[in-house]
Amino acid sequence: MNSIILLTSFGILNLFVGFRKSNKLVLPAVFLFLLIVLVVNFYDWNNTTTYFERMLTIDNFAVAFTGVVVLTTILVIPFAKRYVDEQNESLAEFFSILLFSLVGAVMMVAYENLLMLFVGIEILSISMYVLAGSDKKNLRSNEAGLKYFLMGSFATGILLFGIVLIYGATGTFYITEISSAATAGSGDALTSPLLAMGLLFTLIGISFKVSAAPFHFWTPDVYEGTPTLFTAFMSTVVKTAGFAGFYKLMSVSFAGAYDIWYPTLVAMTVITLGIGNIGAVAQNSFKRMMAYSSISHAGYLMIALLSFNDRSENAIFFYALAYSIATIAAFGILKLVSDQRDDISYNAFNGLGQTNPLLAAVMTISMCSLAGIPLTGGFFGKLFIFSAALEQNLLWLIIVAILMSMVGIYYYFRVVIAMYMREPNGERVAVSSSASFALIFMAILTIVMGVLPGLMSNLL
Amino acid sequence: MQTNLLPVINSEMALFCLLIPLLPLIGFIINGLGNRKLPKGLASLIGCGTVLASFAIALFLFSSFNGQPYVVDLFDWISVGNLRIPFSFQIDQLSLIMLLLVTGVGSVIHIYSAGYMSHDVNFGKFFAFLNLFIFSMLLLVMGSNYVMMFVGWEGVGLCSYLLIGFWNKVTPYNNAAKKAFIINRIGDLGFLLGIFLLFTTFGSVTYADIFQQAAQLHEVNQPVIIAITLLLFVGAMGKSAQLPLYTWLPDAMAGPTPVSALIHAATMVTAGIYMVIRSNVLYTLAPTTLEFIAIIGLATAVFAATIGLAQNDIKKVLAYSTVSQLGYMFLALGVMAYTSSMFHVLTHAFFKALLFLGAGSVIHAMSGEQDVRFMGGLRKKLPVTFITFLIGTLAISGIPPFAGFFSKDELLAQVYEHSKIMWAFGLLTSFMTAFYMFRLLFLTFFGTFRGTEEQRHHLHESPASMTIPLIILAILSTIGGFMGLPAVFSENHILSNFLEPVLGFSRLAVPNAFAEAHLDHSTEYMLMGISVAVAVIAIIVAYVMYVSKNTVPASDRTETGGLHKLVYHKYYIDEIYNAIIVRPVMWLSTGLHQFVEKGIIDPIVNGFGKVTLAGGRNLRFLQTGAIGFYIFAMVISIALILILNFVIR
Amino acid sequence: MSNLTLYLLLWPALAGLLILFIKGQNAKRAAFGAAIIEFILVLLAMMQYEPNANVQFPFFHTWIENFGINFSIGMDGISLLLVFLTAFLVPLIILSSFPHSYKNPNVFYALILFMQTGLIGVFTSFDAFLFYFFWEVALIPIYFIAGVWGGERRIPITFKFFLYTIIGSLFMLVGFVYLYFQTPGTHTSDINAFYQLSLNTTDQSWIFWFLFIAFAIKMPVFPFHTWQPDTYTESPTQATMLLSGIMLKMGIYGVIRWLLPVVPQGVSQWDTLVIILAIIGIVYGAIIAIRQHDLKRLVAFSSISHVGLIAAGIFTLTEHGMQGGIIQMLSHGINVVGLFFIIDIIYRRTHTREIANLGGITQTTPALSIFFLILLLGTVALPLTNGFVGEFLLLSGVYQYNNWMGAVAGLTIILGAVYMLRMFQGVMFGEQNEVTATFRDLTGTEKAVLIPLVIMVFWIGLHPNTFLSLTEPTVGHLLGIINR
Repeated sequence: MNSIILLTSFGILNLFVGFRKSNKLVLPAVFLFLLIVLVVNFYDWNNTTTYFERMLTIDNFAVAFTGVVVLTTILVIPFAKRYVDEQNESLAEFFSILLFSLVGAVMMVAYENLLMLFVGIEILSISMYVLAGSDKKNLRSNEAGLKYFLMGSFATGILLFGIVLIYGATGTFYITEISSAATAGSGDALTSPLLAMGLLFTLIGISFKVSAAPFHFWTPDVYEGTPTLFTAFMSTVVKTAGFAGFYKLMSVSFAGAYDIWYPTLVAMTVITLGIGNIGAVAQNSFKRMMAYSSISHAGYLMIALLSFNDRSENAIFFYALAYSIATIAAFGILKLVSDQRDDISYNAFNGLGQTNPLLAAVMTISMCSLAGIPLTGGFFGKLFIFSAALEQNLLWLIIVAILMSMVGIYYYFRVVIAMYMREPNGERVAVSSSASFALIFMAILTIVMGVLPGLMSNLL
Repeated sequence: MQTNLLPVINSEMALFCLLIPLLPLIGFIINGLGNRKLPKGLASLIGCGTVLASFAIALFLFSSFNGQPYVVDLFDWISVGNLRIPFSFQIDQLSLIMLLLVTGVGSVIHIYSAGYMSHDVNFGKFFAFLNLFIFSMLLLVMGSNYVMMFVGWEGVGLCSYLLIGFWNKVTPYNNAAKKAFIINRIGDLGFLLGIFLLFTTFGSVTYADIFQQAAQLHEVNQPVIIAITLLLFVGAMGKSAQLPLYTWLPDAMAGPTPVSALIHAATMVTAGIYMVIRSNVLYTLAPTTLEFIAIIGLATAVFAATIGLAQNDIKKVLAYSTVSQLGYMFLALGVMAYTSSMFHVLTHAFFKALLFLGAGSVIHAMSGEQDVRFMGGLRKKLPVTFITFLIGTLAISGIPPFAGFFSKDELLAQVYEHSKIMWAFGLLTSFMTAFYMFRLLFLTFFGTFRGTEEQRHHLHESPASMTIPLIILAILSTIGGFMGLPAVFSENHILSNFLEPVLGFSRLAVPNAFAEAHLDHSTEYMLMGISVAVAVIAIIVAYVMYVSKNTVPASDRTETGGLHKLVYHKYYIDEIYNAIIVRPVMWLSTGLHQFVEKGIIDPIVNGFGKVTLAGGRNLRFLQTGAIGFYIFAMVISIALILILNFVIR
Repeated sequence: MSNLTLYLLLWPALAGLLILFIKGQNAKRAAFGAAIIEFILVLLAMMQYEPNANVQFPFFHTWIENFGINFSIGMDGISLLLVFLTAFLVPLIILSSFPHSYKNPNVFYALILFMQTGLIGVFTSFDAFLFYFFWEVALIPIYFIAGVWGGERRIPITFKFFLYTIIGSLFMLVGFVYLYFQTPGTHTSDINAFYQLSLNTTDQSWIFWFLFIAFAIKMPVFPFHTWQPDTYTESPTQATMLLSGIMLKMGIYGVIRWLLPVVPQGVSQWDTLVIILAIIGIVYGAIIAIRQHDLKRLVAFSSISHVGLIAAGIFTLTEHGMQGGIIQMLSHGINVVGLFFIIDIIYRRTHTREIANLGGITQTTPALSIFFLILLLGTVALPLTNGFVGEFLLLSGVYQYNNWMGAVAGLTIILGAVYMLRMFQGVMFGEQNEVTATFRDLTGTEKAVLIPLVIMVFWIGLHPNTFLSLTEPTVGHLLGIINR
């Protein structure tokens, strides 16, 4: 709960910080705020409490995922320095929105009641629509914002419809009660098309938010248009919160209805893996590739959802963390490089190994992590997800996933090749000390997760 | 299983046995590292000294040998599971004879080489290789198990490779060397498989174990024994240049003449015969194999002799005669005349070494010329060479009382016992042998000199270091025969008596194998008479053709008759092998690389990548960027999901 | 020194990290020193090693608790032998690079040492996931060495190699995960738990392929070999040495340790097929090698042929085949590294690897000729050199498995001589040409690299029992598990 309160108040506070002519203070302020949130958040560790008529529950699950989203947001901040230099007048607003959106994220991981889930998703999404279009002078940014908004609202409609149907079938918004209806309410409830339909619509609605195929169409275009900084945020926070919420809904409410949603979800998983990875292969724009890669990672996370056992909770957490860190690093470096070289294709990275060894090294580590190569967190993320799935005897699904991650290695390593094996096409990229610090931190974190996964493999 | 059935000794005697191969090895190392640095005198001293020393030790072992074979265990070489290969020597009658032969003839030829090679820059290297050869040959004959024999077997192959290609600037020489090694390797594969089969059959590779067990088999012509003996014989075919693997030996004459004498006449090529005699019990148990060997041997003998008739290169003639004589020896083995075969090995070693060294001396004098058509009338200029060469020729033609007569006669007598037809062919061979040998002699030493002017001026008798060995070998070729006088002359055949124990296991295994169905004396006299007569006729024919008529073989350019042409071109065997083996392999090599590797396998591998990339490109078309389409697509998918969930189930 | 394995594992990585901070060509000396220290450690281990089947110098620490995944390393005979091979070759490989001056030497040598850690990890891990972990850790550095410091066509070729091998290993990972879930109770990935599994035959037969693919690509066994010739040719010589000398052994080791004892029934289903593939590889590689004109490619194809024989021998599951395969791993590593180094020497002097452009070198280089000849004889398995012991035992094993297969496999004896002698003649013999006329004989450094190799050639050739006795108990132990 503390995190929600703090985030909200800090958001407002930040707007006041923005009144000053120079916005030099904004970033340090936001950084500080988030740090406080992160620390305070963990006060709730191991004391589960519920709020708002049991509409929110802050349990370890919520705390852990809140930690992830806040941490990722913290790590985004250092790369925003360019906005400061450009004297972007509405900087404070952006970051207040960022803070507010986090409130939505927290609600998504802490909800006890479908309304809360919906509200959380909306808070998050609407902030995202704004941020997607935040680069006002850039047409593509505007386009992205609009696209995201239009399709997002469509999905919202579906989601809301689904929730309502569930209410119609069970007469409650409380996920625990829904579960009792969905299972104990045996015959009638389960067979009632109302519940099934509601469940499927909810599922579809969330799938859109986490950009799972075939509801992924917005992803590449929006990601490409959105300012890189917020793409990073979008592809990590939204996905993490989304999957946490998703998992909570499925595991708590619809554990009994496994047979209903399993076929649909499994089909979507395969499609998502396929489209995400195969689609990424042919991209020449690194940013667009990352968009597809985020789709593919949604696919892997869905496997954990499907395997649906005591391992999957940890698996999702570990994977989400590893994925977020690596993605933030990748986008951060992309931002630094593209800001200077004004190019978001693979070629932008040519010879980075010679001009900026640090950037190249961190990028390599992140790519290995995303590709799931040992010595990085990503490897154990995948390992845990696969083991969760195998315990559910989903061997064939794992083999599909493995085949797809082979494809993944291809497009992730194209950038590594560009960095180390091609000649530089530009002088050294200027990197702020804060950014390099953040990058080093992320690299170390990734390696630590890759060498000593035991530290985080069973928090929950 | 691995019990040593022979007494193991490790007294000072063991040290001596160790020294025999060790000394040449040391010589090899010193000369090899010191090549070009060492003064030639020192190099030759080390080279010859070590071998002479080994010879001395061998003599000592021989004299102190009490008829009881023994084994010298040095160390365990390879031991895996129940396979135990000791690095050990076996001293018995057979190995002693071979020891004396190898070191004795070896040292003579080393001394000769000191003179012959004196002008060569790589003098030290040459002696190093010769010593290495002696070392390997000694391992071959001293080894106490088949793997040790194989070590020597391959080692001598290597040395012959190195020495044939000694003048490695000349590509044809290198090709000859390569050919020798590879063809030998073909045989070696057979030998190796034979060893494996031996191990799987008898659970051991040690002579003593195997022969002991084999002797208990009694029943002849067991398939496995036939297989073993045939496989081992394949090795012998390669090493001893029998049909169809003989082609390397004539080419091997590319090497310096002493090499031809030592390796390609006296010692290495007889390794095959040694192997068969060593394994006599196995062969006695496999009459079918023996028949096969006899046929191969005879065929080789006749075939090579016919080629010898038409060759004009002095060394080539000797080479083919060597092949032919080896055929004789295998013929003898084929009729289980093991000792006679050994007898011929010895005499042949003497006179063939002598002939080669003589040829070397001639070539030396002719400053490199090897074609007899450009020689003639050399007997006045090179008296010693001429006399010795004459003795050698008489010996090989089987004229009493020279060594060749006794061995060949004994051999033919045994063949006669076995089969008259084979004997007849054997006789034909000896006719041809006598003819081409004397043809060679007459063309070289009689008539008028046909070489160039400055060759005539340059003509000279070779130095003592070369003539003395000739004389020694000449003496041996003269008296060598008396170690095996025919039964008609004396009842005690020194050699066969000495070698008797070697055949012990054979007698044990097949008691009636050596049934002494001895020919009565009249037949024996008759046989001798015939073979001598045949030889004499051949000599007369040769004399008439090449001395009185003084005809010289036509030069290569002039067209000659079909048959002569066929023989002159060695039946085009090399060309045939090229066409049916070498070229196809080359085509295969290119074909596999171009079509299978680059055409099938690799494309399949790359195919996976290509397909994925194509898939990615096609997916881009879905990403139109038009919201309308996106929404439409999503609606479709939602509809599909609902249908799948509600209509289908 | 009871944690010797741990020190052996960590030292190269640590040294590599330090070397990253050394600027300039001093890095190579530092790296050489580090590698020598590692070698000394291994010698210590060999001295303290008792010849029995037990895992010695073990180090155990829970890695991922309540997953049953442990950091469990140690050395039995086979591990020790391969660790020895690694620690013996790496210093020589580093020394062999002294004449070169690569750009960013600190990174280059650090990567070599990181790879050494990976390799030693592979050879000493006794936990499936740890094994897989090091398996990949060994791959990354070599990919960068080959890809960054290689020839013109390096980028696509090394990338193909990287993808190909990593794809194979991902299948292995699936296999391991599956096996891991077959282990009783709270699952564990400990090797002995894998050995005690008794899966049904159908499971074993598909798991066999999941694991085998990874090893087959690494070795490489026909027809999974197509990455190899190009990669060997395009990589810098040091990378080629690492790949052919040591990395290739990972595959064979994997078969011995992680395939045969784990899915014995799977093996008994597929062994004939694998042996046939391997034998095809022997002949195929050898025949193609005959007509290669680029020295590196020639040796690359010859290596396919030799590895084929090792694979065939090991899959016979005979003691001869196993022991032969193991000793041949050692021999092949030594010979092939030597040959590639000599090719490197020739290339540095003449800037060509085309046999056609060479010739007559021996006239100016007695020393080089001797070393070249000895290594060549080792490769063609002449008795009393290292090659013979291995090939004799391997062929004997294959022959015991099936006479005809033994005979076909034996063709390597002949074909090996054909291509090797052709190469030797083309390079060393004949008339000199303008390229080779001024060919300089070996320098001190080059001799320093070749002498240890040649010593090993004869040591293994004359007294193989030194090494055979090291691995005999372990092999017996493993065969016991396989035939249970």
